[in-house]
Amino acid sequence: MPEGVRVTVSTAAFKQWATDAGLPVGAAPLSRLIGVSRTTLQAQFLRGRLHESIVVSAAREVSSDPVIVLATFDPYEDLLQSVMPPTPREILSQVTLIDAVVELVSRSNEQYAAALSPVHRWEDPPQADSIRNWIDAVDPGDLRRELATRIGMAPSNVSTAITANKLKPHELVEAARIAGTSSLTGLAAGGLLTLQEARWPDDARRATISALSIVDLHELVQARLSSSQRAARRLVADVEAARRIEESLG
Amino acid sequence: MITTYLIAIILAALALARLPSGLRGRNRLVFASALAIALAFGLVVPPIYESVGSLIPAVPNFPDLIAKLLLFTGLLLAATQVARAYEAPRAQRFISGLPGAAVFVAVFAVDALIFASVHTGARVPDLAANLDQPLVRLYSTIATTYPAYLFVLLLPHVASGCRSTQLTVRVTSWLLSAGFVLAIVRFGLGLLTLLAPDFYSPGQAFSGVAALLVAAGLATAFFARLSRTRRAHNMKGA
Repeated sequence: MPEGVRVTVSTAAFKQWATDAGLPVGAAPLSRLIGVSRTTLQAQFLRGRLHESIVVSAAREVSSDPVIVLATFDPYEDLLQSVMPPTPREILSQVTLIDAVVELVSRSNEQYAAALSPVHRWEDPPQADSIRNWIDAVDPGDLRRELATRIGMAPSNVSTAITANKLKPHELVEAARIAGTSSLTGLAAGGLLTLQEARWPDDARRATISALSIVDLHELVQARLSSSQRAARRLVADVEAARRIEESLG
Repeated sequence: MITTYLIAIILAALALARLPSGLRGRNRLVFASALAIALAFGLVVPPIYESVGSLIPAVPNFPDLIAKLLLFTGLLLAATQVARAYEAPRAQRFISGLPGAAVFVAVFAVDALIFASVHTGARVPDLAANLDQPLVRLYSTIATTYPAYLFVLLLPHVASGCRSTQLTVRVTSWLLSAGFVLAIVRFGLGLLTLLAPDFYSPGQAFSGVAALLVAAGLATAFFARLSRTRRAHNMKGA
């Protein structure tokens, strides 16, 4: 996508769709209906561009498929053309540390499995590392660099955005195009869509993790544990820095 | 005019907020810095400027030189603490170590020398009534080099705090960074003022906003500490 191209949804096009769908087009009633701040919506209306999450929320409100609705707007017109089932690597990218540990513990002892099964809830994206894990899962080798070129950002900024779990929807779609995979899983990893809306089969995570060999499962737990450890260390360092800054300047 | 009063009042209020803890001996450097900067801005408020100036009528505008000395001192103290807070020992050496002291003395001495060479009758802060004189514009611009020097040293360290997971650090770092950037831009405008006096007024506006942003950043850290201490007391009591 060349630099400078508008990548959010046009307000005029959205209002036309909303009218057809029987939704109010005023900022106040619409914001109440879809549960977003009125000032946020008003500001986006004024700019003439809407964030994709508004479109998705509005689609959900009228019980429409958010993917089909999103695909009616530029620049998401080819969203449905790239739909394909998620690969096992993509599915595992949305498995959290807790999910993986539960599987590991459950495999070790039937009693544990029986005890954990009723209480375990799969944690849906967005998770702390869901975008980075998805990017790592689909990266053919030079995704970050290629993505930086296509969206007109510095490679270091792209890496920072990925690490911070902050890629925008159009950037996730572009990453999927580079990786030759479905954009929907990327949008789900970013929290815009649910896994169900992203056309994931029911129970995809349970089926995929159950099929893992014990060695692969250990590797998955280890990878998630490393990420969790990094996050914990960063949190501790940040809390210490916060205390130092407050004590020195406060 | 109103802006000058407003800035002076806000800075004085923020300095006074630190008075109780400053008197108890906590962070005396930051308290002294806040006081010095508030005094510097207070001194250039027209009635105060006139009253102080009338104390030594033979040296018109001497309160401006005092204000600059207070401002530089306040900035030196604040920058030293900011360098400590963000663990930047190298920057700290260039702020309050021997090189830092040399820069402080050199910049102030040059400004004082220019002040002594300028002949102006009108009593106006920053000698702004005589901006048609190149020496007056140089005097004003030199004064902006010291804040810019300090903030160039600190900006990379403070900006790194904008990515912290802790909200108060992010807010403090954003406010300080924004203030530092504006003060650096102010120096750029100061250089342009050497060529065209029209850049002087926007430059002064940048200075005022930069001062408020830096003061707000320091105040955020102050109130965050107060709030944390209060929470800790409440938890002990409960």
